[in-house]
Amino acid sequence: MADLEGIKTAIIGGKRKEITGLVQAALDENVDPHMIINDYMIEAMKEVGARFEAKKIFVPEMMIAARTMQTGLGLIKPLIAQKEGGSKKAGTVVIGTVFGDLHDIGKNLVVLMLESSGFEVHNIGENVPPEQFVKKARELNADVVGMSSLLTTGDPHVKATIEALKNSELADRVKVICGGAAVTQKYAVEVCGADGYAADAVGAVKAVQQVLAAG
Amino acid sequence: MPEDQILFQPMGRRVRSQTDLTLLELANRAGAGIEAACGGKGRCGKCRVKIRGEALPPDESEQEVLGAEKSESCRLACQTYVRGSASVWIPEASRLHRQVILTAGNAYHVELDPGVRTLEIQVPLPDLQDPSADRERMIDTLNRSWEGDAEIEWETPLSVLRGLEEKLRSDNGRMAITADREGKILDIRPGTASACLGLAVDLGTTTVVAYLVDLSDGKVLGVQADMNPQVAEGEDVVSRISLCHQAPENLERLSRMVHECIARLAADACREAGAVPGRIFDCTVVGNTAMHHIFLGLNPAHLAMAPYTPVASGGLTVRSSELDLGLAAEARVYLPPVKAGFVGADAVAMAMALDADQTSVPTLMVDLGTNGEIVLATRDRILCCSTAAGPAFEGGHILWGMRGAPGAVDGVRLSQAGGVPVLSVIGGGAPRGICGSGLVSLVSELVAAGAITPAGAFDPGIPFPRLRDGQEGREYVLAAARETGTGRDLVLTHRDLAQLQLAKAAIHAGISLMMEELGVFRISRVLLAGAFGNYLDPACACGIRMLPGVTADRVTAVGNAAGTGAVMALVSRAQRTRAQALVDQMEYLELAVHPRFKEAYLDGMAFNG
Repeated sequence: MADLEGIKTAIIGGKRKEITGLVQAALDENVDPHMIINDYMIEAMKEVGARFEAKKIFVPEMMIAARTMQTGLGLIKPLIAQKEGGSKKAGTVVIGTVFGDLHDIGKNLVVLMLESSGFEVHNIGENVPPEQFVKKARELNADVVGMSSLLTTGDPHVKATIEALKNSELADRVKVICGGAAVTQKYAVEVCGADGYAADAVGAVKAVQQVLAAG
Repeated sequence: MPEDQILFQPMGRRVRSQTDLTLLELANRAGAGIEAACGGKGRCGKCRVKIRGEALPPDESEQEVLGAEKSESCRLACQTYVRGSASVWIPEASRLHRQVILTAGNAYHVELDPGVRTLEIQVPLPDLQDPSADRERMIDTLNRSWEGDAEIEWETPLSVLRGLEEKLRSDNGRMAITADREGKILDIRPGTASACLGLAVDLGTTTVVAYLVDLSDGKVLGVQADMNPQVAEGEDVVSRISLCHQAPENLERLSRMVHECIARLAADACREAGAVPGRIFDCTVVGNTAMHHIFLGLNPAHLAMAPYTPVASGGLTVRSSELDLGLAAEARVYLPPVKAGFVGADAVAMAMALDADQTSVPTLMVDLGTNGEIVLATRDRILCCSTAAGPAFEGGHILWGMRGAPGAVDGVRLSQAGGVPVLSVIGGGAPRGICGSGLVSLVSELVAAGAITPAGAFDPGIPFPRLRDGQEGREYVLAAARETGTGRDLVLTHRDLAQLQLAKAAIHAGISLMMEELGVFRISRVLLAGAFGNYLDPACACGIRMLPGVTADRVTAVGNAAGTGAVMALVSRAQRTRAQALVDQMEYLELAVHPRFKEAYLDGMAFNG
């Protein structure tokens, strides 16, 4: 009998060495791959997110948990692709750190959390100029563009990037969310005209889901 | 909404803001000691601090005590009530404890060949047979006495020429000439030769160390250190670069701060050695590239933007008078070459002092600071990188963290089964906080005792003495309130564990990727440099899994290697040439864009396994 609860526990505890065996065992028993992902893996990450919000765990443990999930996911993904010729994505997100800013840890964590929640995420790196955000969003057919700024309170590059997106032909179909220590809800949404804001990686997943649901 | 906090610098201690307590009381709560000879009655004026933030205005008696120093930001801590968040700078004179900053470097062995010399000469006085000019007679004598440099074209600045006639005659032609080896005369004075001094400066993001050196024999006469005053403006390099980028006057201010700091250290070192800063004719300054740029007043903005280009990277010699360092009027300042935007002359100086260019076995050199500089040298290649470890190693962002000052726990031993911890406290006495080496030592012991999971949590499945539920989750009580110097429990929180984890994972990742790049599977020697490194027990560094694939017996703490390199470049021109050769040989590994960095960083996260 496959230990599906064990998959969940292994992800929450960040036990990367155990996850491979557990997932493989479940697949060998023909457990539905979608069920493993949706009912156990994403549930596990929800629990990790809740613990993070409650300050019961911190960034390193969350990163380790997310990676454990990705290790497990790596085993499942090829199967889904084989069966269905690609799986249904929750949405496509293009994400980067704004121009003049090199910070990546928080942003990379957002990437991990979004991927773990079923989004297709394209990380376009740090120090990204506004026009590059627009170009990549266009190329990758993004639903959401996320940007991070850690350095400067009221960072003009955040505003410039949002304006570039909102002034492009993408304005109607691409939602914009912001995060990072230098950005506040007020600045992002009211001053710069972003569609959403998140204070941390868990909030980012919620923000993306919300802006997509709002349509 | 985060709570309002008061940040005390340069200690980096934080405390919750309270409107009914004075800054002096809050500082005591935070474990940031401020002098208060009068007991906080507002009389002695010893508790002067600089405040950024909103405070109730000073009353008349405070204004009187402040006297000439009266300004909006300068206040007496014992009389000041702050509203909301604020940042408070405690100047050296107001600090209760002097910081212990690592000043000892290793002994150095170089051939003495300084760039500046003082020579005593006897210039013939003019008479009717030889009425040639004073300058020409002086140069004529110099040409006959100055050895070791062929065919010098002497250069005499106006500052030297003015008054020459009197200096030459006042001791019947006996003169002390100080000149650089290219022939520029820097100073002349009548009489016998006095000392020709040099100053070597290790300009760190967090600390500044200055070595006063006698250039005639290479002896280090004195060492002085202080916190880098720029810490008050931003804790890490990136935040300071950002400030300079925002406004030119910020760059000017940061630049001036560090010039004043170096001038003060030079004056202090001279006073203790019975010398005068006016006899310092040569100076070397090593620092990371951002510190290098800000010191020179060069805009560091591009260091933080791809492709991370420095304004200048080669070795530079500038005039001290352009920087206002308070040295001799014509003194020179040499800055060794920098390698890249984030690998500076300090890494080059470290590589030089530790003979990276002469190693036969894979040797790793790590300077553990806010910016971790790592050099991996093999017989034929030298690779370097820089990794943002953050301030945890220096006690920053740790609840009870402090820098290596008296009262800091710098080592911990747990008895079997985690009974009563045995603490080593700097300066003895009651513990007030924990510094980087204490933090590493404590976590290493807890990991060994099985109290911490590999992922970085206090293991909930195992009951462990002194582990309890605190306000922010599980925490370990290092010392109870009655045993501490702050009257509060000294604890290590779950969040602190996470901070240390991020810092050591950055170092671990940097080393792993360098080993991969050079195809090195086993490192034969590890040399730990920096203030933190010297006090760090190699076994503890291995105990938290900071150094991949290294056992403690391979690790040696080597002291302030960058400072040693700065002294070497000061006393030997050959070492300056060597610095350039080293930079040319060094290869830079850019971690920011390395495709495997994220993976390696995550790999480095676990505490064991």
